[in-house]
Amino acid sequence: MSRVLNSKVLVAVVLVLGTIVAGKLVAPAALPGIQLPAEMVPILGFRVPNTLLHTLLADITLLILAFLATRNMKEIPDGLQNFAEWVIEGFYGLTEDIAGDRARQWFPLVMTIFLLVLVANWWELVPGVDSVGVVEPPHGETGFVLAKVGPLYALTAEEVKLEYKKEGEKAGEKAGAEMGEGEAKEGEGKEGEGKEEGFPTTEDGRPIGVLVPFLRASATDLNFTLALALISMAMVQYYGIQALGMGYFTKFINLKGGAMGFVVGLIETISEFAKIISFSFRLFGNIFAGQVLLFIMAFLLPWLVPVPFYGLELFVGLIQAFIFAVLTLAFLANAVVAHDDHH
Amino acid sequence: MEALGFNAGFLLSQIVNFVVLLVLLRMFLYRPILNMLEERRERIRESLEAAERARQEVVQSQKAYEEELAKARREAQQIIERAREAAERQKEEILAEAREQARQLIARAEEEIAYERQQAMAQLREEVAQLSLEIAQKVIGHALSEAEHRQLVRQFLAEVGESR
Repeated sequence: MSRVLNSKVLVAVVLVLGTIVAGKLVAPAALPGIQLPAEMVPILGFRVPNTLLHTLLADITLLILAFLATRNMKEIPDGLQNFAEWVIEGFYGLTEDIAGDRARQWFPLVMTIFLLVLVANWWELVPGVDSVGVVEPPHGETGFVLAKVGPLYALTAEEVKLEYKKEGEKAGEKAGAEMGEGEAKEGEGKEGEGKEEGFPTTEDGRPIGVLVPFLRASATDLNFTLALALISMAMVQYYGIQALGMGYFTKFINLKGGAMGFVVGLIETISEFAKIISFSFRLFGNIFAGQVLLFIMAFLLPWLVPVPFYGLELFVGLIQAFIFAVLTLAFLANAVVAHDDHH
Repeated sequence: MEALGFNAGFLLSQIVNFVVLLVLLRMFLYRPILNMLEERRERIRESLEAAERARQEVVQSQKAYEEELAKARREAQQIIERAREAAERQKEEILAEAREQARQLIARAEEEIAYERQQAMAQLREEVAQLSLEIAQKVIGHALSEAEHRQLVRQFLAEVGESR
């Protein structure tokens, strides 16, 4: 019995290892250029950051789901309406626990943060995001050798340094890049169409290019996370003032508590700005790191090995969305409480 | 900041995007669903209250029914009691009447008997007088005159009466 089991286990191990090795040999993946700023993808003659497109995709996803869930509301819910009610009711309950009777006021903000961040994070894990886009001539010093697949170009894993032709072709390359911008069209699976003339070539005449993906996780763009952080903290200040009037500011400029109180107020002020930074960089860092992790896993061992990391990123995406929303809620709840320690 | 990808224009577009999304979701997702949840909560509360009311009503009517039943039983008992008393009374009356009638019958019968006896006695007396007269005639040999006859009988009767 144990022998049979052992042989089965052995076969499984061999199959898994074989798949992993075969993946590495058969379909090596290119390690995309990792950069902090969003890539600018040419759409209808405009250059748009792909993270903004990703955000719009998340918006549309949410709006379609919202429309489908509430299109035909029933007293006894089923399907999508049931699911939407479950999500909304669950989160509303949480909001009520923290915010009390201000729940109705704050719920839209908190829920929207959660939903947008969650959906944007999870879209990152869908195949095609980060890997489908426009192939352009290299912007920097390295590019990938392109292979023609039908009408499209695919990046091979063969990375080439362009340094050797730096002197001679720098000017021409620039021009080519500009040309590529206007003419590049949609592609598929790390593929894209490009004007062959625009691309520098290897010594044996194969074109070299880079991929500009259409979509890239919103939270890997600091502008997205910073925008959310600013909105969140702005609303915290707004509701703080609304609840406490001018008394809200005594938290920051504390003249009653003597020198100690003043210093505490100063620290409060600084921490308020630090919250913006921590908000934006926590989300940015987590999702960006996740993206890089997935890139590198796909580059090192493209088959099977990345799967657990996708599961991990699914979890990270949920947790980060939840943290962002609940922290906002906690800061809001904190802001409307009077700080009258010295009375 | 530039190296981190910060760009005021993109930042602003993300802010605008978020605000628009918030407004739309509020309109098309949160409000209808929260309203629906509220409505449903209200309806469930109402149903529970109605159920509670119905239960109370059932209890109430059960109690009323039992009270009614007890009262009916009590009344029935009373009616039976009264009927029994009435019957008892009637029985007594009938018995009394019967006894009275019997007494009267007996009295009348006695009267009649007494009368009959008197009659019989009178007749007997007559016949005795007649007989004694005939016997006396035979003994004496001739017939007394009517007046003598009567005299004699009267005498005799008086004697008989005295002897009795």
